[in-house]
Amino acid sequence: MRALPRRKKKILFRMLSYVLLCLSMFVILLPFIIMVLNSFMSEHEIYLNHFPNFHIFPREWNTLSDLFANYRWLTTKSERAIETFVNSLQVAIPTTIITTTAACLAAYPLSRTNLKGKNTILFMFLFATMVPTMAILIPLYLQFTKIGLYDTVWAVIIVLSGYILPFSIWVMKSFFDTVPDSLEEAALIDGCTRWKALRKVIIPLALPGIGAVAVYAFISSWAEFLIALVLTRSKAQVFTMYIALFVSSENIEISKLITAGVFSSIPVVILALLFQKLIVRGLMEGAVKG
Amino acid sequence: MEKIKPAKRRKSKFFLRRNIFVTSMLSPSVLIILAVMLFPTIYSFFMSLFDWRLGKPRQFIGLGNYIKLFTTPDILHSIWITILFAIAVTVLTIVFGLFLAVLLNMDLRGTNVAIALLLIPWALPPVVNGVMWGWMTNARMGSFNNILISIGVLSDFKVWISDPWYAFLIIVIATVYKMLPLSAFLLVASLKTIPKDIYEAAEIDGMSPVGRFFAITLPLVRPSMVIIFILLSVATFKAFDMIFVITQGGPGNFTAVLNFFAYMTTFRHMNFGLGAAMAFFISFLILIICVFYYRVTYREVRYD
Repeated sequence: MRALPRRKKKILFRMLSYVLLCLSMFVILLPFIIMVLNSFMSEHEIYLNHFPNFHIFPREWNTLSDLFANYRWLTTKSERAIETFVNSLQVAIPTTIITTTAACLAAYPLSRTNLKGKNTILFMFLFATMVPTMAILIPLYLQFTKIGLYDTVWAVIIVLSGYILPFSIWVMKSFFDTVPDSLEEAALIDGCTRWKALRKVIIPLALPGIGAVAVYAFISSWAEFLIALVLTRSKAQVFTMYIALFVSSENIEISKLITAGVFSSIPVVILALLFQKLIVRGLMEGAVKG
Repeated sequence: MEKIKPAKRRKSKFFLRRNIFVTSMLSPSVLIILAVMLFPTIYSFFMSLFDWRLGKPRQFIGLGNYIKLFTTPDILHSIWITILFAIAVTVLTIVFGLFLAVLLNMDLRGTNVAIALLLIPWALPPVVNGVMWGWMTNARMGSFNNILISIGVLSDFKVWISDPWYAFLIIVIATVYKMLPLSAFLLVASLKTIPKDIYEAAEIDGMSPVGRFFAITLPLVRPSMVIIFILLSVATFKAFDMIFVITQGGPGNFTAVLNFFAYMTTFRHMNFGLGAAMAFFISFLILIICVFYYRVTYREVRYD
């Protein structure tokens, strides 16, 4: 290697890095790809899919619609699946709206003023991002059962909003911080009220941040499990619970379990891929502060 | 730095309006967070002072539950395994995250695609992540066993989750998988703050890429790594979903990290007091870490 001219070494190095990157991506995506491919297999095929008959691509199908048999079952024959899927939506959408709005509102004073209690509030929010879920769920379980909100969608929405809010505020605040004061001052001098300044100046400029927080809030609410597990039983059950409890139900049809898993990922994966630039910027923006 | 301070000296109408404005914007968030996150945590502490079970009236036992925390072997093991879990996950996530971050920072062709694909593990619900890894390590039909047998490493199907340490390894891997994208992105962000000139200068001076990494990249990235280390380890204290789906805390409570064990104690054994004690114990640890973390990083200073 030492005999190679420097330019050739550089090219070789870059080629090696490129190969490493591709390999890493392949390894990282492999579990997901295997799971998706397995979701197209029938229960019979999966049951027999072991050494020496092991194969990754589905084999026992004749028509295209055979491949999607599991999905057809999930969306039409399984009432529980549809019910819980709708519940998940009913939880995720309001939570996203509440969280994004509240974070927007809260980030403005935190970013722009020097309130007396600001550092305390910031610390409070920091601690709230780190609180382990069980610490809040045991008292909340007792309270909600007392009030009669147990097993309702709103119970989950409220708790989830409070759970996601602190981190969202941190991210939103970082975004607001990147909008320079001068623009706002100019608007205020021109006669805007603080409200208008917020609406017309800061929000349009911080729109990527707001989008990032909204996507993050939706993905987090969609993925939520423990809060729903504790605060609901059957009426307000969410899709993640359906999957997890599938495992402990009587007939564990693995193909259907895997299909449910993939199905649950579809909305969030689509969202993540659609808004990737936004999300990555949001995550990195929060990082630069730290 | 000049901010608009509309004559703070005189209590003008504008100043008063501004205060109401500011408080009304903060209040919804502060109220929700106080009500849902902070107040329950304090109430947890209150609950942990009682022998509080379902069906019996609660009895005040002071720190009795906490004594139980440190004398029951199962719970001690849970505390120990939680710490081990946090360290294992964080170290692995940072190491692999750094590896990915360096690759992503090199402006190779297709980096954008790589970043997009990396978002998939991040977006997956942890429950699905757990199902995925639980399935891959399934004794008969899982890919792990089948691939390993096909290439001759294993000679027979191995039941991974029935061995305590392999079960632990699996939940570590599953959690690292979930956290890897976040760690990689945070590290890329911090890598980007290193000016390219330093690398060029080192290259001209004849340093190899590996040398450049250890002499330049690592030292400059270390502050961020410490911060990410703290954030990630605190995040692992919240781990629940994957453990529920893959091992259910098994075999025999071996992989029951504290958050999970608190759930089992409270909702399976119906011992609210003890569960609250466990939960509050973690919160207390986290509070200390938080104070330390806040002191070190977030002194609010505005430049402009």
